[in-house]
Amino acid sequence: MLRAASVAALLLPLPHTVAAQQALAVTNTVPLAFGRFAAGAGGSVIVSPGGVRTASGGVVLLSSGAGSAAQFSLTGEPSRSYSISVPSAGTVVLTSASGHSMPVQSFSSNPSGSGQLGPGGSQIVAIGATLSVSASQPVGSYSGSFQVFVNYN
Amino acid sequence: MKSNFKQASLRAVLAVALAAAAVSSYAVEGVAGATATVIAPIAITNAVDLDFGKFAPGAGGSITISTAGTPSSTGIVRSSTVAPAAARFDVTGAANATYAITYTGTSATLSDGGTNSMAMAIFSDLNAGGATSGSASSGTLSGTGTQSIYVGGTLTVGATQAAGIYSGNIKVQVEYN
Repeated sequence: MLRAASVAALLLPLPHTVAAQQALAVTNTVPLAFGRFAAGAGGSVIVSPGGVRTASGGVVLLSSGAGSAAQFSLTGEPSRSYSISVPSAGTVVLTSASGHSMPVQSFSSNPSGSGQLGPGGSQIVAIGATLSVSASQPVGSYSGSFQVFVNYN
Repeated sequence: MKSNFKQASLRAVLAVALAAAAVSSYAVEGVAGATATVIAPIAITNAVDLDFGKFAPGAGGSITISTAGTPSSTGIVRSSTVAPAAARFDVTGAANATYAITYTGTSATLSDGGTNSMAMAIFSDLNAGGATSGSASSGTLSGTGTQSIYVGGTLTVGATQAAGIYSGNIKVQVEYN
């Protein structure tokens, strides 16, 4: 009899624990876009998590093709803190149909490192990065993708 | 019997701990697209020079060449042996891109290479529409990435203007915006 009670104690807490915690979900709502620019003498295009686009070196940005920071919508346990990790430098590359490429460096996020879901169990995470552009960067449309990982703390 | 119960409870605690750990270490992955568009650099070439033609000073006055290359004058006596022409600059770059146009560095006078000169004022448009004033300060490249800038001018000629060949420069700069 006592043994049967122990087995029940072993099984019951399992579904209870799982149900109490709402799984964390991530949805990409806005892609990362570096916009339109002329390569000039080469340099970089920087998009901040706030969506501000700047250029360095000889790159000339065109206002007709503005960039955007990526945005992810997070949902989960209300007020729960989480950690977020972004790709490390050089692991993400944008490529064109003709096989040319540009590496994406210096990913940054807001919130950075870790954040806390709101009382409603959701939060927006914004991601920016730096695109390296070579002096002789061939004209074309470049694309790629990147991953972020979030986890409850 | 007592020791058996203790063992089962420990197992239960362990199972709960494992279940909780399994959920909290569940990392979730999000994937986003990333894009960039590299466009052709903007370039400009001088296809036709601005030419005021040939004239005698007469009583002095001025000659204007419209952006369509049409001359008009006051006071001077024009010769028909040299056809006047408006300047044309051809711009190439990315399709549909907008750009700014500046004329900084353009000669304010045409000089004969010595001490004689005539004041020059320029104006421009983007369609050789015959403008004789104003200037185009921005343009939009076509769907094939081209556009032309037409520059005309007005030259002020003195009554005692020395005979000679007068020249200067028109400088047109374009920059994406």
